[in-house]
Amino acid sequence: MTQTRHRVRVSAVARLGPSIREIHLEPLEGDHLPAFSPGSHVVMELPLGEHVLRNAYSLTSSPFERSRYAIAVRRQPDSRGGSRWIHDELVPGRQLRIEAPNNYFPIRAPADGAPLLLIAGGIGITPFMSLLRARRPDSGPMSLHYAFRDRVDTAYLAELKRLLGSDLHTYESTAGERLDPASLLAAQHLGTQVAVCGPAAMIEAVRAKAAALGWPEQRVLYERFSAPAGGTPFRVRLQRSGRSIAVSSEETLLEALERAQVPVRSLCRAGVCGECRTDLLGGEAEHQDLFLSDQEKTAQCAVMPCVSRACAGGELLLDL
Amino acid sequence: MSRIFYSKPSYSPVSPQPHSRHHLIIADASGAARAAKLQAACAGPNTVLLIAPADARLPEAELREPRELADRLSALIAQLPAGTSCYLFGRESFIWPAAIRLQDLGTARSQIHVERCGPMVRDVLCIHCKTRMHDVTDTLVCCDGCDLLLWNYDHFSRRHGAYMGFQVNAEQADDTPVAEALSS
Amino acid sequence: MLQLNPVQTFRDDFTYRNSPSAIQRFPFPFPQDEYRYSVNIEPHNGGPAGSVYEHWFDIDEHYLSEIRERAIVLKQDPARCQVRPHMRLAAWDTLEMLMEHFSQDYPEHFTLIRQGNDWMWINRPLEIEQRFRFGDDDSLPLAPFEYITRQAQGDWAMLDQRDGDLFMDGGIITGPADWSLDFDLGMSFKEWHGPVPLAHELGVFDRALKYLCNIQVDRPARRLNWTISINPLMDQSPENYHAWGASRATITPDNVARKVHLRVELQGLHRLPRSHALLFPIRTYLISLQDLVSQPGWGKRLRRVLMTLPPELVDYKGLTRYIGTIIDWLEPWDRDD
Repeated sequence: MTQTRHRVRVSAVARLGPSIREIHLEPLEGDHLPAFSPGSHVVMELPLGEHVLRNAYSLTSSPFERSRYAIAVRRQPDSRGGSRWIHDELVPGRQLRIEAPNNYFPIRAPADGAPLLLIAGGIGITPFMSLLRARRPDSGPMSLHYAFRDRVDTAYLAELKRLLGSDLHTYESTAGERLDPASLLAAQHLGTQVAVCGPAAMIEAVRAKAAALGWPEQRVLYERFSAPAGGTPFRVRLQRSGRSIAVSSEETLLEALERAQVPVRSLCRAGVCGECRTDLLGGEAEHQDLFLSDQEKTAQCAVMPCVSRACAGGELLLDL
Repeated sequence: MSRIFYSKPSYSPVSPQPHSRHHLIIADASGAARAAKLQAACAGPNTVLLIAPADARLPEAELREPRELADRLSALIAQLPAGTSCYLFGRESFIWPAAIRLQDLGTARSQIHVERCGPMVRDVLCIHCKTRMHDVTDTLVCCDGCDLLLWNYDHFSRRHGAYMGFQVNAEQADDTPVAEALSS
Repeated sequence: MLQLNPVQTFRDDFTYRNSPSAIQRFPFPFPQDEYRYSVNIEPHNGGPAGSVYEHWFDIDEHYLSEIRERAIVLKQDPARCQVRPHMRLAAWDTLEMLMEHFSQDYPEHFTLIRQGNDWMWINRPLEIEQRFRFGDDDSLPLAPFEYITRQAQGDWAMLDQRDGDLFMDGGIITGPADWSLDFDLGMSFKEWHGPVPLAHELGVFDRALKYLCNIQVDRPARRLNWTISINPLMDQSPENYHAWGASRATITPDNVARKVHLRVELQGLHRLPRSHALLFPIRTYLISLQDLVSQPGWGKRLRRVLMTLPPELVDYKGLTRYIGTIIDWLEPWDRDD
């Protein structure tokens, strides 16, 4: 089954910092884009030269606004060209295709009135923006702890100050400010939900401290702000068609299969939803997903091509 | 084919959870002894809430009615650390509504540990007239509200703290099983 | 254009009847000649024109009858509609989803006009014209979930999703096949399935739950479920079991064709976009045995399924007293040609 696609037009490109752009998208057909919940992302098709790159971006606009979407993109020096294309090529008026929103990071308090503690690192602020922009006086307590390198190249600071007032806490690392997860978590009360989005090291630190402080796993929600894309090149062989495809260091296994026009169903492109699960007939995969059970990973019987690759120097044999 | 009622709770003895920063222990009169035992086994800081009628002769009981517990928990939750473990001891009709209350305040299910104490009795809710029968000991019970003979069904609502009762001989009046003592 | 029947009854004199076209489009649920347990969840992305799968939410000739039946049940027992307080946003999601799809799929009967948050809803069959503000509970005569589902066929539940589980946190259940919203409210996925006997491995629940928790906006799923009803009794509730239970002991070879109905539920699962809850419509179709055997192959297949049904399921579905009478009556349709 294919995902519903929507044609959109870039209505504005706003500069949030020297290397961050906010892109506004309007529907080309009808007045409404699909409603969504905080933490959702859309997969956007970027026409890069001869092939189409499909990247996921968190929606940063309010879920109550259906006449347009907003996303924010930081220029990544080591990117596969997606962020560079958005920064250099994307101008108002340009038409694009996006898929309907998905949510694998549903940010919410566990109960009405229970506190929500948000922790963002750098561009990891994006999934929180839709929640904060829809905040109402009766929304329940929430606070944001936002760590970044330097104030100048950081998204949404002024707006967040306006939205959150004293519930905003910032940590500018170039000024020597550090977010200390241990003391932050130790000060929270029963019923608090933590949601964290940022670099892997930040997420791991929060999860480890929370576990040490007796937090239940479900009260720590996290999203890596980018799926692991790229790595060591390897080859994949397809049992049914007998084909052999090279996966470059610049692309995921799923992207390589799509490039070779091998049909694989996919949805989240982040190793969460299970849609692209493919039977593994040979070779050892380096599993990066959150979907397969530990048993399945050890047995090497299946692989999630959206995030996982072959173990170094190896080759995979897929049931395709 | 097996018949398992996932709604019917099963229990195993509760012990202090490691890594907890606080232990919240809640019991009714039938769970008071177990609560005291658990408290003694807890290394760290703890709070005990005992809910018992005045005649239960439990001097430390500070709350007399289960409904007082709901308000007390709302106030308490903002003082306890996130890494608190909660333990509930007592009759099913007491421990489960209390567990639901904790969840409605944001506590995760994995933080809540329950142990059934006291005699093998159930509260039964008549699905026809919604009358509640307390301390039912048999597989059949006559409804205090509508007088129908009810089957004490193994379907349990934690929110109600009660099992479902429905008319046992609704299909044929003379087709009634013999009542047996509850075994679980 | 969809023609709506005048009001018929699902109680007392049971005047409910299927037209020939309703019989033809009946969702016959058995893909093979023997009973086999399966989760049978599949994407719900449309189906052949005129089929019950064509639109997200099927409306058929029985619309007015079901709306009236719902009103009767709610008047007797208001607890059949309950929404836990934290489901307020999900309730508005539901109202929006139903109004959008009804007006798109059945424009001759429903119209939705939106200007910002000022909305106007027109339901011609029920002669309703309602202006309201989207998101403002006070601008509607009833709470939003009850307001819209009183204008929709089938039962509706809202499942809250939190901590990797689903919770039965709201619904309007006036035509259940033997379950009670008032009793099950607040239960987790496994708890409300408590009384269902399950064949095979129990991991089936965990797999289904994982699948449901990953359903995304605009990608609904569906499954069929079935049981048997005596009479076209829509409200086959535990609440009223003391009143309808005796009908199970009334089946004879003379009345089996008229009184016994195959009851099929088309269950949908839709992600509610803002609340991230799931909407769970349970749309019930009833067909008498005499109408069912008018379709080639259906009588034979139903008989074979019933003959291979495990005893626990015969008991759970309440068939014990009359399954033999059904199997005997269907015998002529199960002869080798």
